[in-house]
This record gives sequence, C-alpha cells and structure tokens, in this order.
Amino acid sequence: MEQSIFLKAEQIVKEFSGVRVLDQVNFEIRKGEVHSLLGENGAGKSTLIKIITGVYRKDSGTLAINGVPVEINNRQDSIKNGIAVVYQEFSLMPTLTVAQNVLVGCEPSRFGFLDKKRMKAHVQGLIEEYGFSLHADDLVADLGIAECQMVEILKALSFNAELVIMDEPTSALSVKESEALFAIIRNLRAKGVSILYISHRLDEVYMLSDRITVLRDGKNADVFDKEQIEPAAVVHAMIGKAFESDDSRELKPGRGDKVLEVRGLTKKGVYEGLSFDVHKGEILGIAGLVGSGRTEMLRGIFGVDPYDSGTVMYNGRKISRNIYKNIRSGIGFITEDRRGEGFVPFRSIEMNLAMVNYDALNKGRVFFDKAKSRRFSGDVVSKMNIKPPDPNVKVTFLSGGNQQKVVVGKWLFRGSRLLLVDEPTVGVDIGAKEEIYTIMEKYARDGVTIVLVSSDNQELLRVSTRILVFSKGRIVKEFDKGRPTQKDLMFATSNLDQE
Amino acid sequence: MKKSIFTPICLLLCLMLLFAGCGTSTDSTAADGGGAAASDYEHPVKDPFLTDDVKIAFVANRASDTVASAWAVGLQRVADYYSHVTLQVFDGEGSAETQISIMADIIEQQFDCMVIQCVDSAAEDNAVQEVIDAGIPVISLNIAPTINHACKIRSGGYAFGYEAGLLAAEKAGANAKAVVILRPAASAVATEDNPVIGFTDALKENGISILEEQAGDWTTEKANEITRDYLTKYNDVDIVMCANDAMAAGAALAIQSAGRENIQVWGSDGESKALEYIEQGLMTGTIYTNFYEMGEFACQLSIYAITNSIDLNKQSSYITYRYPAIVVTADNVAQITERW
Amino acid sequence: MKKRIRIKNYKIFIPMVMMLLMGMFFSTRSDFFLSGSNFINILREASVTGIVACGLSFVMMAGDVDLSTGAVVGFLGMLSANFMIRFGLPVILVILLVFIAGILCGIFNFFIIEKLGLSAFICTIATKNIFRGLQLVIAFRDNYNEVTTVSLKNPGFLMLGKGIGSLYYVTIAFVVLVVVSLVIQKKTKLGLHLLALGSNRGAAVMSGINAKKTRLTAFCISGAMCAVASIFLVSRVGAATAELATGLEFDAMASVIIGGAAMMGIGSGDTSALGGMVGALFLEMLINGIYKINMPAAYQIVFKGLALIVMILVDALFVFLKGRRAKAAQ
Repeated sequence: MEQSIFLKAEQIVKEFSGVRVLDQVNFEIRKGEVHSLLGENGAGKSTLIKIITGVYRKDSGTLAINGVPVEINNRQDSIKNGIAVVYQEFSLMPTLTVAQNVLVGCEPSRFGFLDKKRMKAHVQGLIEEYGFSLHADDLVADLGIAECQMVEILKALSFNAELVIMDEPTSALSVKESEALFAIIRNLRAKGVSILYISHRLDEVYMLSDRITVLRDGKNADVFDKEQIEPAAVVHAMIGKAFESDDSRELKPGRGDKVLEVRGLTKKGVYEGLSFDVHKGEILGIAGLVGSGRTEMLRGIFGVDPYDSGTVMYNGRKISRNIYKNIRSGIGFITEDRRGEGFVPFRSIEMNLAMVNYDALNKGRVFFDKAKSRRFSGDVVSKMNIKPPDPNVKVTFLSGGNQQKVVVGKWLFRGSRLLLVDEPTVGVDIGAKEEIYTIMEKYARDGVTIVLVSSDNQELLRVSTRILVFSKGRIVKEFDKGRPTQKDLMFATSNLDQE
Repeated sequence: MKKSIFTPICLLLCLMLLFAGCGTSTDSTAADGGGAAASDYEHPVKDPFLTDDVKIAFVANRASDTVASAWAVGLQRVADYYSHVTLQVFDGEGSAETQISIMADIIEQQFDCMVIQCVDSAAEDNAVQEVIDAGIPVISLNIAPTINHACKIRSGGYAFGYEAGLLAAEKAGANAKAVVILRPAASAVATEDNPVIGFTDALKENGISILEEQAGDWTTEKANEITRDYLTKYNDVDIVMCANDAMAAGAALAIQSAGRENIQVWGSDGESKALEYIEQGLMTGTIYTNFYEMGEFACQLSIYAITNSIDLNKQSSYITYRYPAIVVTADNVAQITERW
Repeated sequence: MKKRIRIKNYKIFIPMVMMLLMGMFFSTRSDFFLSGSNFINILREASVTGIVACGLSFVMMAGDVDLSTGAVVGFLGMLSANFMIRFGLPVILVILLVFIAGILCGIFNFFIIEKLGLSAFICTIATKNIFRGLQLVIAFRDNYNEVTTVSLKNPGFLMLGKGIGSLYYVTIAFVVLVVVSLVIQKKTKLGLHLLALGSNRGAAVMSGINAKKTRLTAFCISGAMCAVASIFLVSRVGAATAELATGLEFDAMASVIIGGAAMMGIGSGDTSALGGMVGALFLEMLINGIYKINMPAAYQIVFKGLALIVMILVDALFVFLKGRRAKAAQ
C-alpha cells in the first residue's frame, strides 16, 4: 500500500564550529506511521529533531511537508506545519490547569478576555476522544508523570498536529503506564497521525515501529521496514560492529572477604530490615522497580541521607555517617541524578574530574597541581573514550552519555575500593554502555567491589556476579547461581506488586 | 471561575462589616471631608487625680534613641504617681509617614494628650492639625510641628551653644579651625533653638574659621564617616562640633582611630555616655539637659492640659518653654549626678 | 475525581483566618480595636501599600520581583510636588503626568533588566538607587543647599488625601484597583500569560508567549500603580519628603507573599491582586493592633516578626499536608 509521505528531509547538513553534526542526511516519515529514529548519543538524532522543530536552522538541504517545500526557522513555523514535540523534560506549567496548559499561546478569546467555556470544552473534547484519564480542570501540579505526559500529548493534538515527536517517553513510566502510552500511540496512528519515536529501549522500538531509521556519526546508516527489523542488525547499524545483546553472566554466590555487611537497615516508609553482605571483587546487582528503595538505601549507606536503625559495617568497622570520611576510606558513589548531583556543568571536564580527587592529586602541596590534573584528566578522557576528547570542554556541552562517563570516571580513577553505583547508564547509548561495563568488570577483577543499582534488567544480567531483588523497600529474592533471564528478573521485581 | 474571585471578596467584606457592626462606633456624626473624628469635637474635661482614666501618648522620633528613652522614663515617672494616668510610647521608627499613621491611631484611640518629637516638621503638619482638631492637645519636644499647638518644649538652644562656643574658642585660641556636623535637614529648627549655630557664631567672633559643615543623621556611624572624611581632607582641625552626643561619640572614635590628637569634640544633649567620654578625655564638652526632668515636666504639662480644658490650641501664640541646660566640660562634669 | 473538593485558591484563606484570630485577640485586649472607624482607619492605612502590592502582584505573578517600588513612589511623589510648586501646574495635569511617569519608570525597570540580563532582583535594586537618587536631585533645597521639606498648599490636591464621609478616596481607589486587577489576572489572556511565565518560563515561551512584551506590561502596570499610590500618599502627608515611601517595597512584597505567593513559588498560581490586598490588610491590622495593646516598643518588632513567622509556618504546613495527601493518593 502506497502511503503518502508527510515529511521528507533531504541532504540535510548542519555544522557546529566546523564539526559536521549532520552530513547529507535523508529522512522521511509517512502519514500515519510510527517511525523510530535510532542512533548512539552524538549520532545526530537530537540535532535532526531540532531542525525539524525549528530550534536550529539547517545549513543546507531541503524539507518538504506533504510534498511542498518548506522553511522551518522557528518554533512557530514548525507548529504551523503540524509538527509537535513531547520531550523527556516536560515543558508544562505546574500551577496552571490542564486546559490552560494545552491552550496557552492560542487561547480562544474576545477582546483579550478569555473564553473559558470554549477552552474547557475544546480540551475536554480531546480528552474524551482519546480516552485520557484526565480532567480539563485538573491542576498540573497534582498530576503524576504519566498524566503529565498525556497533557503534553494533548498539547500536540490541540493544534491538530500531523506529526508527534516523542523523545524517550517511557523513561519515567511504569510498565502499566507505558502500556497505556503504547495504546495511545496506536490510537493516534489509526487516526492518521505520524509518530516519530526516539528511545534507547530497543525492545519497545522493535515492538512499536513500522520503520526504523538509524543514524551513525551524523550520517544515514540504514533504514529498516517492519519485516526487516532484527535486533542484531539494528544494533550493528547503530554502532557499526556486531554486539551480543544477550550476554548474561553466570552468577555465583558471594565468597571472600566481606567488604560490606548490612544488618537490619531501616528507614521508616522507605526501606525495612535490609540485611545482606557484599564480598570483595563482587558486582552485586540490585534489581527492582523505581521506588522500591534501592537508591535511598545506597544514599543511606554512603551517608547522604540518614536512616533510622540498623548497622552497616565496612571492612569490619562501623561505617561513618560522614560522607567525607567515607570517601577518604575508599567508598565512591555514582549518583543517578547526574545533572543534579554528578557534575558541575559550567566547569571543564578536567575540573570535574579533579573535584573529587584533590587530595590524591595534590598530596603534599599547598597549591593546585595543574600539570598533574591535566595528565589525570587526559588519562581518563582517553580510557573512557569521552567525546570530544578535550579535557577543557565544559561538561554541560557533552552528550548525556559522555557526561555520565565523566561522572563514572571521577570515581573510578580515584582508586575507590567500594563503588556504590546508581543507574550508571541512563540515557547512555549502547556503545558507551558497553565501555562502562567493561571498565567495571576490569575493576572488579582488580578487587574493587561494586554495588550496582539499575532498572535495566539487561544491564544487571550483563554485569552482575550476584543479584538481589528489591520490592517495596525489602529484599525479596536473591539470584546467585545459573543464568537467570530477563523474564525471571521481571517476575521477581513485580512479585508483590499488582499493578 | 466567578467563584474564585467573588467568594474571597465577599468573605472579606463580611468580615469587615461584622467587626464594624458589633463594634461600638464612637462618631455618630459623619465627618465632613476630615479624619475619623468630627472637627468640632470638644474633648471633655477630665479629672485624672480622682476619677477619670486618662491616656497620654508619646510619639518619639525613634523610641530606641537615648534622648527619646530618657523622655519616656521621665514621662512614665510622673504617670506612675497617678493611678489614673497611663502612658503609651509609640515608635516613629525615624519615618514621618509612620508618625502620621500613629497620629491617626491616636485619634482613633481617643488619647487625651499627645506628646510628640517630630521626624519632619513640615511633612507632619496636616496630621498634627487633625489631632488638634480632634480635641487632643499637642505638646512637642524639641523637634516641633510648624503649626500652632499647645506647648513647645525645647532644650538647650542658641544661648547655651554660644556659651560652649566661647569656652571652646578660649581653649583653642585664635586662628584655630573647626568642622561641624549638623542636624539632618528635615529636623531643622529656628536659629534661637539651634545650639550649633550659637556655637559656630561664638567661634567666628573669636577669629576661628569654620572649614566645613555637613549634615549628619543623628547616628554615631554616619558621624564617624563624616569625621574620617574631614580628617583626611584637613590636616589642621582643632574643633569638631556635633549637633548631638551620638554624633559626637562617632566623631571622637574617628579621631581616636586616626590617631589624631588635640582636637576638641563637642556634642549636645548630655547623654551619660558623653559625660563618661568627657571624664575620659575623649570628648571636650557637651550641653547637658536633664531629659528625665524634661519628660517629667512634659507629663505634668499634659495633665494640666487635660484637666484645664483651657483650649491651649486656640491661643494665638503658643507656649514655648525652654528647658534649662548646662554646658558641661571636664571641669564640672563631676557635678552632674543625674545621668540618663 | 469529583469527590475531591477543590478549593483552588485555598492559600487566600490562611491569612484571612489568621486575621480573624488576630482580630479576636486584639479586640479582647483593647476597646478601641473593634470599631467601625478603626476598621476604616486600617483600610486607609493599608490602601497605599495595597495599591502598590496590587501592581507588584502582576510582576511577581510573572516570576519577576521588583524591589524598586518604594523608590518609584518616592520619586513620583517628589515629581508631583515639583510639578505643583516649581511649575504651578493644575492638579489634573499633575496627576496625568505622574501617571505617565510611572509607566515610564516601569519601562525603565524592564529595560534595565533586559539590557543587563541579570535577575530582576539585582536589577531592581540598582534602579531603586537610581530612583532614590533622582528623588534627591529634584528635591527642594534650602539656603544651605540641604534637602528640605516643602508643604503643599494646593487644596485640590490635598483633598485627595481625604474622602467622602468616612470613606477615604484612597480606599475607594484601592478596592477599585484590586477588582480591576483581579479581572485582568483571572479573566484575560494577559493574566494567563503572566501566570504561565511565572509557572515555567521556558515552557511558556515555547508555547508562543511573548515573554518580553508580557513582562514589560507587568512592569508598566506596576509603575502605574506606584504612580496612583504616590499621589495619594503625598496628598495625605501634604509634602514630599526625601524619605517618602522608604521601606514601602518590602511592605508591598510582604503583602503579596503573605497573600499566598510563598517565596518558593513566586509566580505560583496563588499570586494575585487579591492576595496582595489580603496581605496588606493583614499587615496593617497587625500594626494597628499592636498600637492598641500598649506593647513596649522593643516587643513590637518581635511581635510583628513572630506573627509573620506563624503565617509562613501555617502556610508551609498546608503545603506539606497537601503534598502528603497527594502522595498517599498515588
């Protein structure tokens, strides 16, 4: 069936300071299809999106909507052409209602006075048409994440968008909420709306997409039709080399010196009665759904947040509640909120790496040893394959994955003996992920102990030597032999959870 | 949507009406273009000695100021003699607008007499007039409103400043140089009431030149700044005269920290701190007034005004009472026993 | 969803309830508190601050702050005195000119913010000093070139400081302005845009709101309100002093905040002209009550501070409880 093409981009070129971020890229979306755009971080996906939505101006190439050539130079142009975006970070106004959020900027009005009745009717109409569980008068501040996302989608629909771009829409959603979203996507598709789907969750992509376009290093790598979608081939297109995504290790029970002993750790309302040991050289994976208390436990052990009762022994001695002391005694903490707590954005890579390591870099000196710091950061940049490989670049300009590498590098190269790691590869592309895993394994072999909290079960299976499963603040299962599958983990994590 | 606006407004109006309704409205006649009270309202004669409770309000420029506190103490002392007399102290916080608000409240609370130390005479005239129109006698201390009111009590004045100036001139000798820190412009008073002018006139008559005059703001800190400024500008300064003791203290400290010697520092008021400084040699002299006594006197005068229904306000020339002062130097400082 | 009673602007009720409690407290301690004339007094005193708070609420709704309002009022007051004394202009013309000047001040404020690109907080502190300086420049001076206060004698002008019967003009103006402001804030596009900007500026801009134009409008409204306030203030005082309206900006901001902004959520949906009015009344009632109960001066400041802290705590408690309820519902 010949479907008409809604958006066609041809030979798009975009350069930033002499670097070609998009190099003669071709891209097209048909009407009423779900089209996914894949590629590693830095491959040019977000730049292409920004060009389509008018945030950036292309240097050369053509854009055509429904066969008609157009110029998209700002947000207004993009909106006029029926393109809407639902970003990862919501651009909603929390103190306004759903109706106000959806219609702000194009409110029905008379002489400047708002026609509130019409606003509400319009939005309520859309809500009912698409079956959202919202009310036009709800205050956005009261809504949960999934509902916020629905408001974003409503925004898109309110001006009759023909293309809805969704950027990592499921990253903050639970399984049930994701299912609801997929239903909405299918509904949209049935109504002839095209969806441009961007996600690092490849399983979702495979399931939803009618077609997949893969970009690599700013160029077209491949385009797959639904029948042609085959995981290995897609990943190959993305990183240019074969990659076994079904790696999972043989698990082993803990053996050897106990680095960490946790007994009865409790924090009211968050986690309860946690007791486990971590042995030297282990990579202990902690699985569980978001909100099961894993991050909070890590923070409690490290000393960031206080806990109510229980003991934690580190190398046979009671652990300090003082973060500084813990760092000095060899514990490192890789936070899940890298933007908030992981790095200082307007400082260079070098400064960020040096930040935690002043004592090591400047032993015995009064002043900052710049040369040593430079060597150190150069070392890290190359070993972690940070792009661009310039330690003077400010971290805020790096892609998400590279930022994460800076955060990880900060601690790994410090010589920490116990690493508490929380969601290390969120928003990181496959290639970088693999690099981080390799590094972690290397350090574990050298005797570093790692406690790894992750929501990516695949990741846990890939890296861990032993896995604990959390649910609602308690440890519910331990996997310490054989090769469990993702399905096993999923069952365990949602064991007591009837969603 | 209408609900969200009108409900709170209605509630608020109801609140106000409720209060107004169940409260007692003392003005049965509608005021014509005036304040909360009718303009021809005559204050009843009261007998605080035996039967009636009376309230006296004292509106200070800044209640925390030493002079104002001393007045308050004096006023309170007399008020304490009589079981029927109460005193309430209001803090103008150094702002004319605050004093104006206070005066509106004084009318509201039907005080029987108001004792006031103005912040800005010209700005407060209208408000004082309203107080007078409400039948409340007004007695001013030092800084007075420009309109006629019952009584104006002043301390010190030109003559005492002149006397002090002569002493200073004698000590310094001819061809000496002086700098002055004046009172803030807003609190300007007539020449006869201004000791600083008396002082400088005495200096000029004795051949001493005034290098510079600048206005302070009654506070020690500002005077400190100004004096430091003077010291850097002029190598040769023999006398510093300040409009009050707080400023003199600031000047004295500035001189001390600059390490300059043989500079006379004169103030006015007679605070206990200034007297101490004179004893220590940091200050040369001041014009001492017993502000406790002055406060007591003001209170007595208030009671007189209350009991005597003599319409003090309608007299064509208001009473000015100049409260006696003493020029104090190291020679006679020991004789000052009552310090405030 | 329907079972939840949604009181959207619940925060308004906190200061109102507090006022009620305060009123009851003061009325038991003083006979003069609970009277019609006293309440008219409270309204009168609160009016000037309230008018400024009204204008300020527009600015704060949009997520900016304006610390120069007091200085603008002072400057405009001095300007009106100059017009009348130095130029002998008729009252109507003076009012018109001052009004225009107020709008210009608002434009100036916004211009500085845009030009410097710094936060409104810092920029308006700078403009505050500029306006205060201008006020002193055009102030009247005596023979010694010291700033002096000159009384205004123009009866037409002074009449503005009074009222019809016991209803003061300034109070009438206050109520009218509050109602007009509320209508603008809640029922017009401008109001929604301001709210949007304050809620999430980035999102608002992305939705096509012209941030510059809208914020500029807010500052102009604020300036115009300051002009109205200054006219009434000067007519009441009867002179333009060098210290006119010192500290007014803080009272105005406190009023808006007490009325429901809550510092963290400046630009939250609870900032409104109504909030400004309630806040101004609250503050004035507090001061008025303190005068009635014959509290020693030193304790007055403490009492004022305590009352504000209690207000903020109650507000915070409300927010906390609301958050807990929301969490439990999830």
